[in-house]
Amino acid sequence: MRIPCPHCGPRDEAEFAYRGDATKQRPAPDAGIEAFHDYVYLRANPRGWHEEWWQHAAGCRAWLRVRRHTVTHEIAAVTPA
Amino acid sequence: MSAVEPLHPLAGLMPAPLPGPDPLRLGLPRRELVQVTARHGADPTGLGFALPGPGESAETAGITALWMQPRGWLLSAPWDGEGALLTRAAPLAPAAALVDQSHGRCTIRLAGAKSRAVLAKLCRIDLHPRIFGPGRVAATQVAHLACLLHQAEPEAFELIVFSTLAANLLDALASAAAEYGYAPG
Ligand SMILES: [Zn+2]
Repeated sequence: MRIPCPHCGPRDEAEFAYRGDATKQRPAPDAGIEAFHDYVYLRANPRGWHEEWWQHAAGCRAWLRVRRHTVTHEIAAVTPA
Repeated sequence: MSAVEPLHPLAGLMPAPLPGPDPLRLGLPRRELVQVTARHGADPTGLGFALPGPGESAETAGITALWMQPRGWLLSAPWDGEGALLTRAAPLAPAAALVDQSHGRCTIRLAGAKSRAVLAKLCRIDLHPRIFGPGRVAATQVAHLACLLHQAEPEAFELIVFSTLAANLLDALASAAAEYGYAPG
């Protein structure tokens, strides 16, 4: 898999670190323990398109928001975080 | 002023020359390095030249500026005394954080007709002249180590790497160059 870094151009996946699900939004401080449990621990495992954080850790260090297909590894969009 | 130049972190680790058909020249230039990180909303100027854009380098008066990351650069200059480059970079300070990396990172130079072929064994980016070339810079992995790769000349590359990992990189470069031979230089 290659990820087209908006700063560096297409780079091998080995240069990137997966930084998690980009769809999760931090709940309001008073949202309660259940909402925070969901936010910290519960993740969907979609077969198909997924929004993800990737960091170009061995390159320009930038965090990127990547739209990736979890079956084909096709990448539809990459934007700086 | 006579400045005592410190040893390169790899001094004493340069492998003995290996004869071959087209030897790679391996060099350990002692450079001063200063990391420049722009402050939020600020535009670092004052060195007398514009800091380069992504994947590029710029050079003036013996200072080479290498693009390293968004709003981040590395300045490199021949050794001129402890802290000398940091002093020269001071005009950038209002707009950027400056960190002396002269000991934390070091430079390995490889030159010769086979330098690109040797690097191609160890890194995954396209170094063909139609894509890369003199003056270009890439923050990438070489031999699995995060490096700043700078093509200094048509047949010379410089790798800037964390000093603590540099011995592994030198070893990998020597192994990759074995079929062509190598020598200090
Ligand atoms: Zn990048």
